[in-house]
Amino acid sequence: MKIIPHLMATLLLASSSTVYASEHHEKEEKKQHAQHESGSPDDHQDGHEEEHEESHDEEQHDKDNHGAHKEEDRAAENGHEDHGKSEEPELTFSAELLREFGGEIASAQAGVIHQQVSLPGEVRLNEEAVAHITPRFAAKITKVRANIGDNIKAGETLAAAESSETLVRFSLKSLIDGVVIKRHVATGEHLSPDDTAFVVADLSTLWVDIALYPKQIPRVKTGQPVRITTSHGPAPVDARIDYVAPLVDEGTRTGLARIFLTNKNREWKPGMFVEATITVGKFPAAVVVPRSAVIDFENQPTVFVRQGERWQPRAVKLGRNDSDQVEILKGLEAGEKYVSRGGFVLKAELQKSEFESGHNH
Amino acid sequence: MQSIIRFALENRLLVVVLSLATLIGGYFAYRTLPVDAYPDISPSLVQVFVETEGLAPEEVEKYVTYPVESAMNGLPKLDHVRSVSNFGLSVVNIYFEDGTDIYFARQLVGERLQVARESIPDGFGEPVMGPITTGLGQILFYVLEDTSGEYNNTQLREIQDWIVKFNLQTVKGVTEVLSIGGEVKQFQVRVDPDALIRYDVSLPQIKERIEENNANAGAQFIVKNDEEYIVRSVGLATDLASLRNIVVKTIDGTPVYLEQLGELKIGGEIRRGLTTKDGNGEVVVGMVLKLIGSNTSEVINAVKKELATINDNLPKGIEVQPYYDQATLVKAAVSTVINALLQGIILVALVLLAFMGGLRPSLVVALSIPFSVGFTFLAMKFFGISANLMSLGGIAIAIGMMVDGAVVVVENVDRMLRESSPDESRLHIVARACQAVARPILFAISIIIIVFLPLFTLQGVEGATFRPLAYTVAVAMLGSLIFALVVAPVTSLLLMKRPQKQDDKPRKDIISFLMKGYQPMVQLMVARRWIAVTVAGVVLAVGIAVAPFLGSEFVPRLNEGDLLIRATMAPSISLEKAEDTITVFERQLKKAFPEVTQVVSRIGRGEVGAHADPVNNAEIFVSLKPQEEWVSAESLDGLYAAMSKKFENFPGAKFNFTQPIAAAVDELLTGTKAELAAKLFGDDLDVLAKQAQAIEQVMRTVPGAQDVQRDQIGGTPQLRITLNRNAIARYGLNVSDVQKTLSVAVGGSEAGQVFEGIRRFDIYVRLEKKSRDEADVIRQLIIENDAGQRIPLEELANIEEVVGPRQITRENNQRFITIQTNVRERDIGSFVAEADAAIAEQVDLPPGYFLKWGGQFELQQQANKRLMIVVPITLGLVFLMLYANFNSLRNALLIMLNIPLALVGGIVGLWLSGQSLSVPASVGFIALFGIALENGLVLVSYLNELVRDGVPVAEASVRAACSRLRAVIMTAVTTALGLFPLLFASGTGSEVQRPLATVVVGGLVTATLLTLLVLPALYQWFADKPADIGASH
Repeated sequence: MKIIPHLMATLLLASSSTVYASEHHEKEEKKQHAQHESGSPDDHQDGHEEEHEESHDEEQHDKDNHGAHKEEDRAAENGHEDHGKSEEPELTFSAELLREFGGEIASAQAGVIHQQVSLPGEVRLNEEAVAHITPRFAAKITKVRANIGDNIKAGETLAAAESSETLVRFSLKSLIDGVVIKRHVATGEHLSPDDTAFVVADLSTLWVDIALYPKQIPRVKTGQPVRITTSHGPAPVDARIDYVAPLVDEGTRTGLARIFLTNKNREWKPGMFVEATITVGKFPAAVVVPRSAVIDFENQPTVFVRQGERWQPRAVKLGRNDSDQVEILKGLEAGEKYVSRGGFVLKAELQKSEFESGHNH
Repeated sequence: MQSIIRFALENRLLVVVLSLATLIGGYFAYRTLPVDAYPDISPSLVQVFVETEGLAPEEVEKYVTYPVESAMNGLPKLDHVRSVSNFGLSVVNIYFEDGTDIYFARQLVGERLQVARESIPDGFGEPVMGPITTGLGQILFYVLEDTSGEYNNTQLREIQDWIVKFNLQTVKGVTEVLSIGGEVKQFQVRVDPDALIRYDVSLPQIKERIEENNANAGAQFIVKNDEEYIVRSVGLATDLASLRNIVVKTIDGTPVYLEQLGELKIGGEIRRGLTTKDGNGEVVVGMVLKLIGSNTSEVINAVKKELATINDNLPKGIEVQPYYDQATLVKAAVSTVINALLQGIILVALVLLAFMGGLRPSLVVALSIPFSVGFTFLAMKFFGISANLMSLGGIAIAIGMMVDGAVVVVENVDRMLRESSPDESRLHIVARACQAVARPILFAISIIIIVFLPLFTLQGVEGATFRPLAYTVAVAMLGSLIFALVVAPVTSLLLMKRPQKQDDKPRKDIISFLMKGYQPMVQLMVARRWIAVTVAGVVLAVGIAVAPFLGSEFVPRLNEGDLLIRATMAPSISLEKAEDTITVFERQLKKAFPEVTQVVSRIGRGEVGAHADPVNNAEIFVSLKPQEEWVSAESLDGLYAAMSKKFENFPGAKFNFTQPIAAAVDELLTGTKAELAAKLFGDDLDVLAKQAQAIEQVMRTVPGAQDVQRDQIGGTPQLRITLNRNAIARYGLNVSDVQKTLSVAVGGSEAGQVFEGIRRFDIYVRLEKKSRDEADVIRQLIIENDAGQRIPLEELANIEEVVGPRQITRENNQRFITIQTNVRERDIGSFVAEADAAIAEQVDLPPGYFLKWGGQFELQQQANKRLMIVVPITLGLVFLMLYANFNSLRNALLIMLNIPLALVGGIVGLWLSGQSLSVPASVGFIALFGIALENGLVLVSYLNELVRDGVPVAEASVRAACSRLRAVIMTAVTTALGLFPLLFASGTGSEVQRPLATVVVGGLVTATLLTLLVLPALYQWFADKPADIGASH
C-alpha cells in the first residue's frame, strides 16, 4: 500500500518544473575558459609601464627592456600560444565575414607618433609693437587728424597741439607704422604729458597666448610646432611656440606659451579665441597601429593577429599614443596582419561561452 | 439521498426549469468568459521601475534600489523581494504569496513607495509600478511602416507617441502601450566648451536661463466695461527660433544669445534600445499590454478596430501593421480543445446509441453532457476562471466520465422497466431504480473528484497550469453527479417508456456479441484463479519492465505557433554595434530560410514597463509562411533545429529559440532553470566574484555535477573618475561642483520643455558631441571655480578605464551571485550534502558571506513533501469512501488493487506512443485512478448484491461480471472515446493534452480488462462472508 503514494508522488514530480521552459538549454563548453586563467600573460605588466611613461632616452630604454625581460617574453609568448590554441575553433573568421561585421584588416607598419596637446588660446596685440602717443607738454589739442582704424606711417601727424604754457604749436606724430586703435582726444581738449592721446598698434604681427595647465607646463617647449584653428575665422595656420613664460600665473595657476603670429592680411583679430594644437613630441616607432585596433580583453590591451587561418588574441604592450595611433612595443611585429578596426566582434566571440542565456535576473 | 430523488421526482417542473436555466446560463457564461490561450502562470508580482539617467549599477543600487527594497520590508503576504540594478535602471520585483489579489498587492506597494520616494535623492528618478498586466499580457505588437520614405525616425516616433499610442491607450482593456525604436524628439542645446570660456558662462547658468525664459503665466483678470478679461502672459518657447534668441548674458550691453554658445538642433533622446526590421535597419514599434483579467480576444479585436481607424487618419504613406498578436494563438488553442470537446461529445453519443440500445435512454444519458458542461461554465464564470487550453481541456477530459453516472442510472431504470410488473407505476419504478444506484454513484463520482485533490496542492507554475484543469474536472463531475441524482430521474421518467414485450429474445447488440467471447473467459478465470493471478502478475511485470525506458521531461512545450529568438551579445556592446550585429543576423535569416516572411527585432529596452533588457539582449520576432510552404523543415521543432544549427557559429552572439509568451513569462519567473543553485550572499562584489569562482571549482569536483556555471556579474567597462580631494580643496571646489559639471557636460541635463500643442518635448543641454565622447576629451573638461580659475578635470581626478559590474542582483536586501549546476546519476540531496561539506572545507568564506542552496530542487522537495502528505490522505479518503460504501475492508482493498494494474496501461501507452513521463502524464495517472476505481466499484457492488441474495460466490462472480459487462465497457469506452480527439489532435496546445489522454486511454484498457477478468476471479478471496454482507445492509 505504501508504494502507491510514493508512485504517485514520483510520477507527479519525476518531471515537474517549469511548464514553459524553453527547450534549448544551452550547455556551453565552459571548460575552455577554465584554461584561460593559467595561460594569461600576467608577466607582461611587471615594471614595464612606468619605465615607459616618462622616458626621454628611447634607445637606452629599449635596450634595457629587451635585455632584462627576454625570458619573460618567451614565457609570455608561450602563454599566448596556449591561449590561442584553446580558442582555435572559434576564431576562424574569414576576411569577408569580418568585413560584414565592420571589421578592417591591416598589416603592421612602422610609423610616427605625434603627441599633441590641444589648448585654448587667445589672440592678443603684440605688446612689443604698440605705441602710445602722448603730448610732450601740457597742451591743448587744436586739431585731431587721425581717427580710429586709420593706417598710419611712422612720423605721420595724428593731431596738432598748442602748448598751454608757451603757446608753441607742435604736432603729435606716430612713432611706428600701424593702425590707430585708440583715440582719447577731442579737439580743444587739454592734455597733460601723462595722458595717452592715441594708441597705435602694428597688427602685422600678433601674439597668441596659450594657457598651459599644470600637466602641460613641462611638456610644452619653445620651437614645438603648433597649429592654430578657430571656429569662425581664418583658415588654420601652422606656427611654432616662440616663448614659454618662466612663471606660472598666481591667479589661475596656469603657465603661458606664446606664438608670434604673422598677420599679413589682418585676418586675425586681437580678442579672438583660438584652439592651439601643440605637437609636444614626435616619435618614430617600429610598430604603430590605429587606436581602434587595441581592444581591452581580460584586462589586457589586446590586438587580434592573423595566424594562418585564425585570429589570435595577443596581449600587447602599448607605448606612446597620439589622437589616433598607438605604438606597440611588444606583441606585434611589422608585417603581421591584424584587425585594425572592429575587433570587438572577435572579443565577443571569445566571451560567447560566458554570455548568460539572455535574462537579467 | 433517497429523499433528494423523491423530491426531484415530485417537483419535475422545477427540475426541468432549473436544468434549462443551467443550460442557458452556461451558454451565456461561456460567451462572456474571458478567453486566454493558457492559464496565466505569472506569479503574484508587482514590479517597481526607476529610471535614473546615466547612473552606473553601483549608484543605482545604493541610491535607488535599496530605498525601494527596504520600504517593502514587512508587507503582509510578501513572499520575497528581488532586484536588479542595471545601468540607468532599477527593477525591484516584489513577489507576493500565490493567489494574492494583484490590486491589493499594488495598493500596498503604492503606499510604501511614498516612503521610498523620500529616501531617493532628488533627480535620481521616480519609482513607478509596472503595468497592471502579466506574462500573457503582451497581446499585440505593431510596426509603423513608412512606405513613402519621407519620414525620419524622429518623426515616425512622434507619430507613434502622439497619434497611435495616444489613441490606443483609450481602448478598453488596454493598460499600457509601450513605444520602442526611432528617436524621441528633443530640442538639443549642444554647447561648445570654447564658447563657455569665451563668454564666461557655465552650463548650469545656461540651464537656468533657459528655464527662466520659457513659461506662461496667469494674472487673474481685469474688468473692462463690466466685462471680465482674463490676463494671460505667453512666454513659452514653441520652436527652435524662440530658444535660439534666449539671452544668456549681457556683456556691456551686448546680449549673448543662446545660439552663440553652441548649436541648437532637434535630435533624439539618449536611448537604450531600438528596433530593426528585415535587415533594413530601424523601425518604430509599439507594444500593447492588456489589463490583467480582461478578455484577450475582445481586447485584441477592439485594438484592431481602433488601429483601422488610426490608419485612416495617419499621414499618407504611413501605416500601422501588427506583426504579432495573440488572437490567432487564442483562437487556435481554444479551437483545439473545443474541437476535441465536440468530437468527444459526438463519439460519446454514438457509443451511447450503440450500447444503450435505444434512442430514448441514450438521449437521457447524453443530456448529462450539456448539463454538466453548462454547470461548469457557470461555475467558471462565478469563480472568475478564464476559458483556456487547460480549463477547457479539463472539460474535454471529463466528457467521457460525465455520462458515467447517468449511464448507471439509465441502465438501471431501463432494466427495472423491463423487469417490472406492469402494475407498478412508472414513477415508482424510476424512483426505485434511481434509489438503488444512488449510493454507488455518489461514491464513485466523489472518488473521482477526490483523486484530483492532489492537483490543487501543486504550487508555482505547475499549480497555476493544472489547477484550472483539476478545477473544471471536479466541477464537471459535480455537475454530472447532480445530473445523475436529480435530473436523470426526472428525464428518465419523462422520456423513457416501458419497453414493449420483447424481452424474451436476447438483445442483439455489441454487448451480446462481446458476451459470447467473454463469458467462457470469465468462467475459466473464476474456475482457475491462478490464471487470473498470473495474468495480473504478467501485466504488472510488463509495467515494471517498461517503466525504466520512459524518458522524463518537463511539461511538453506549448506550441505557440510564433517564433521568438533571443539573442545575447557581449555585455559591453554598444547599441550601435548591437544594431549592426542583429541587422546582419536578420539578413542572413531571411536569406537562409525562405519561409521567413518578416523579422522584427527589439534590441535593449524601450519605454519602461514590460522589459528591462540591457542593450546586449535582443528579441527577434520571426513571422513564418504557412507550414505547407516551408522548405527548410517540416515542423516547428525541425525549423528550430535548423536555425539553431545555422547560427551556432554566428559571431559575437548566442541565440536561444523560444516563443513570445514563454519568453515573457520566463522574464517574470525569477530563479534559476538549473536543478540546483547555490546562492552566495555577501556585500563586496569582488569578494563575491572571487569566492563564487572558488565554489564553482569545488563544485566541479563533486561527482555528479554537470553544466556547472556561475553568474557573470562583471564585464561592463567603466571610465572611472575618482576625485582627488586634495586637489579639489586646493582649488577651492566642492566635490559636487565637479560632479555637476561632469554630469551636465557629459551626460546632459533637461532644461524644461517645448510645447507644440499638447505634444511636449524636452529641452536638453549638453556639450557638443566631439567635446565629450572620448576619454581624452573628458580629461580636458574644464571646471571653473569661484575665483575664475579654469582647471581641467584631469588635474582634479584620477581617470581610468576599469571593468565594472554589469548589473547587481539582490534578494531580500542582500547582494548575491549564483552558481548553478545540474546533477546527473545521483540524487540531489546527497549531492548537496557532499558539495556543502566540500565547500565548507575548501573555501574559506569571510564573515558575513553565506551560501544558500536552492533551485528547482528546492521546489521539488517542497512539492514532494506536500504530496507525500496529500497523496496518502487522498488514498486514505478514497479507501474510506470505499469502506463506507461496502462496509468491508476486503472489498475496499480489492478495488484498490485496480490502481497498480491501471498504472501499467498508462505506462505502456506512453511507451508505445514514444512519449515521456511529464506533468500532464502524471495528471493523467491521477484521473486514471479515479476511473479505474469506478469500474471496480460498479462490479463489486453488484457482486455483493448477488452474494447477499444467496448466490454462491463462484457463480455470482461470473454472473455479476456478465451482467455488468455493459456498464463497465460503456463507462470505459465513453471515457476513452471522450479523450480520443485529444489523443489525435494536432492543433495548438494538443501537445500538453496528449500525454494525459494517452495515459488515461492506455490505463483504461488494462484496468477494464483486469476489472472484467481478474477481479471476478479474485473476488472469492476478498469476499466477506455472506452473513456479514447480509448484516451490513
